[in-house]
Amino acid sequence: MEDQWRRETKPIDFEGGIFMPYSWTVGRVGSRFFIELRDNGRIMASACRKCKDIWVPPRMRCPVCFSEIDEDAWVEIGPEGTLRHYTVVRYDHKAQPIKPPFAYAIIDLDGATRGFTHLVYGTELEDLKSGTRLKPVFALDPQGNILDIEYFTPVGGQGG
Amino acid sequence: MKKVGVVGIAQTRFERRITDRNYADLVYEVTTGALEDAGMTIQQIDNVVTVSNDFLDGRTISSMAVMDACGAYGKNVSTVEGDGMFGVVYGAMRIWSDSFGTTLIVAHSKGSDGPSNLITNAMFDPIYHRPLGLDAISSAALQARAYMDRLGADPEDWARASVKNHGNAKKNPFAQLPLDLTVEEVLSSRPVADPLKLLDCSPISDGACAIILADEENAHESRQRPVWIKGVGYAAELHYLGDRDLSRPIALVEAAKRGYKMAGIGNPGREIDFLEVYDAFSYMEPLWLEGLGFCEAGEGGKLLRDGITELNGSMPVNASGGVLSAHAVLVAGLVRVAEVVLQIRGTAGNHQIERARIGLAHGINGPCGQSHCVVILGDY
Amino acid sequence: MGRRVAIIGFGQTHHSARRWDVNGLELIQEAVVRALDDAEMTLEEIDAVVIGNMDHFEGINYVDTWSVEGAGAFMKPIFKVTTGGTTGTTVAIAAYYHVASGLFNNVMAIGWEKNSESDTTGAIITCSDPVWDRFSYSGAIPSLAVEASAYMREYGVTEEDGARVTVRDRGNAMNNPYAHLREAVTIEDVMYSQMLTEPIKLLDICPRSDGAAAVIFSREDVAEKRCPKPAWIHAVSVRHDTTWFGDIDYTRLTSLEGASKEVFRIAGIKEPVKELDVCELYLPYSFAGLKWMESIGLCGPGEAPRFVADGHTDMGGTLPVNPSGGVLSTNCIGATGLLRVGETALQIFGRAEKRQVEGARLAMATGFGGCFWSDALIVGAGKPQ
Repeated sequence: MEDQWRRETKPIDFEGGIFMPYSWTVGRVGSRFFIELRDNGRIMASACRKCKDIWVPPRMRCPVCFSEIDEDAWVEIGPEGTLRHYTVVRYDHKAQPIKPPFAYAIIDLDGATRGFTHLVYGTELEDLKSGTRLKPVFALDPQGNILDIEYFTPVGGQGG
Repeated sequence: MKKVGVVGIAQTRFERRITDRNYADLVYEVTTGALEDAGMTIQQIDNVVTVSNDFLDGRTISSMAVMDACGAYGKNVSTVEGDGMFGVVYGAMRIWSDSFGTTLIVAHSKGSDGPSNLITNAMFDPIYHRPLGLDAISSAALQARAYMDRLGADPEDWARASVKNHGNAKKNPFAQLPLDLTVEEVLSSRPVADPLKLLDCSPISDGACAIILADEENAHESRQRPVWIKGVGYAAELHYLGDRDLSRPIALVEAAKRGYKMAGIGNPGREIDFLEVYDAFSYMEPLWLEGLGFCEAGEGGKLLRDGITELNGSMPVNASGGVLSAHAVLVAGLVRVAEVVLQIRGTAGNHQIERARIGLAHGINGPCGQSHCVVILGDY
Repeated sequence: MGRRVAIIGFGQTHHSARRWDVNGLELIQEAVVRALDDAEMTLEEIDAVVIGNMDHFEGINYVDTWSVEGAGAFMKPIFKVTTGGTTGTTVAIAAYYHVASGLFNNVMAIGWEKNSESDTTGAIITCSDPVWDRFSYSGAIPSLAVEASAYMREYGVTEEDGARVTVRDRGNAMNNPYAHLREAVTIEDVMYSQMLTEPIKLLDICPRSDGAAAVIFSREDVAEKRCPKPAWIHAVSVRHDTTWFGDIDYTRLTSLEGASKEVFRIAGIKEPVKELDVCELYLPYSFAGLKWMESIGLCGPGEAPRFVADGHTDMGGTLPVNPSGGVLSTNCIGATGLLRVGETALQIFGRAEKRQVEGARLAMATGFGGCFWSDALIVGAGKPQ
């Protein structure tokens, strides 16, 4: 399709973009999770009494059965957990919080029935495998967001 | 429920970057192309469904840009934001509701216009997932790993999907990446996000596709013999990756169940002749075949090893080259339908398969196939 | 028209400038749970969901999949439709087709927006073409000001005439516990509010809100069994205009003329003012409450200011418009059109409480958005032909 026109003409691209700042509402449930994380270094989950599922991040309603989860049905989980699946990322883009190579992992935090997705770093990434025990490395200056856990790293490994 | 069939199709050639046409131009090209294919005029179209995405187009109300180009002026028109397959389902619903007789569905995207990683990062929950920098590729890599961890899947088998589909693309004039590959070349291509290599991933593409649906009465106005929609099904599972068992596409199982029931299909392996599935990554082809019920969980790789899904195999998959060979997001699902139609018409040219009476088209929305849609088409 | 379809349940959030207590998913849940309660239905009975909003207000791509747990759509069919300001009515119309197609028995339509999360006008500006229009397009208010000026000049309409629409809608919102702005205003308040773009002042224009709406559409037999007074869908119609703002005819709202004509024809309505009992119109600014009344055909050209001033559109008038307080009182954009539809259903159910129009049996809802696009629906107590 790149015809005569394309050979003779340098096409014009109009460089632009959408630059939109957002301020996402975290809400009552999410705020409690992040305040516990920021102020006490605790990872909280919410338990659906009907489904017996322990959800992290905590939810206002069970995603499966839709019944309301009381604020007293919260439990502390982790902070350690077991690596379920991982990938080592070897390309970069602007939304990544750290420079590759690093890993993403789905982690079964101790006490939860559903997985928690986060970063794994500070270790020989080649040695990771399903079943590796992981612990969180907390940010020195927590802000009340998901990166208050900087990343997870193997228990007893370097960088902990 | 009355019969609804496809009477017109058109697609652009897919390219890494189309510089001589903007996306409205692409929509105009496939709209006029589909009308010509059907032997119809825009006056015979009584409603339009466009498919677009504000992130991909870099504009709010992205459908605004194509209202002129798809001939929607003065007509009932709506916009689906998601894979083109959902546009087909909605377009058919509008006819089944007895409100309309002929629906034009048109999808466009120019992946080359924007930053693909940032656009797919934006499909994750902004509070819990997005700050981690996840995108379509890294989340798919987690799914590929889950497939290995839970079901013993072998990346060598997926490499076969890449070899096969890029090979099929050589016979499809619309495909972007016709390639002669070997399994070793795929396995030794640049690691992107383990276990995925560069040649396990679909490309960024520009392009558009349109199809025209009609009920029996209006189909007579077309010069094409209609390819009938026999069944549709779609469903979604949970969003957060940790909430899901990524190795089990339960939403696809549900979508397929609904589609088969509507189409009266009891044994898909025997009753469906061929498939066009959404292989955005090579591992998806075997995983989706498992979800669609063509084999047991963990057995998808065997179908590739045994050559069953080859162009001349007993159940060809992605004879067109699939999404691995051209991945205009949103458009790709609509292309799956168009390719099934080409095969059933017997006009697929060099990539025509021998027995093509009942075909299945498949599309996905969201990370790791969170939402699936199947459309089953046939010649009767 | 195919199979008969009726609305049997409606839920909405308590709308406000910012719902700090809930994130987007939880906001959606609030409306969904209320709709289920209203229909006395369980989530298991809902067999498909259709959802809509505008991407750049919250910056979420693929809202259909992101929202699954908010929408109660786990393992259910769900997809997203979106058409700018008309998104809410687009969702309603899509839900109608879902059920009318025969594929589903009960379909949940959801519209939502958390406009507090971004710059509403900043996002709207990006609807204009990036190459040709965006450098000069400054959002919805100035383009509406162009059509208002043209209308005022044509018929000698005054700013006070426009202000009366705000006064009516904001007064009605006092009866609606869910409305965002619940303070009555006077003509003077409107006249002395900050000038934004001649002739539009702050109180002539809608707010931006956080809110969600959910409406349950059911097939005939379910509706009859489950709802004492189902709100039957009599007609739906959509008209879009051209792509470019420069191609729009600012002296007429041709899309609303076209959509209204089509729904009146389908529903067999010949004299809308006499036959309709109540309207919930998408009036995003005060002058729309004049000019667009004429586009719908409720008044002749230039007659709307008199019609409104004489109280015909007030509660207790010939044809009450916006008992809910309308868009001028609540505007969570993706939900706004669906709120119009839900409010008309509530009128037919006879459950609108303090904002009930006595004996309402036939109602009209409209949507507005995009590049001067319009949607129209007719909802009634009697079964459609």
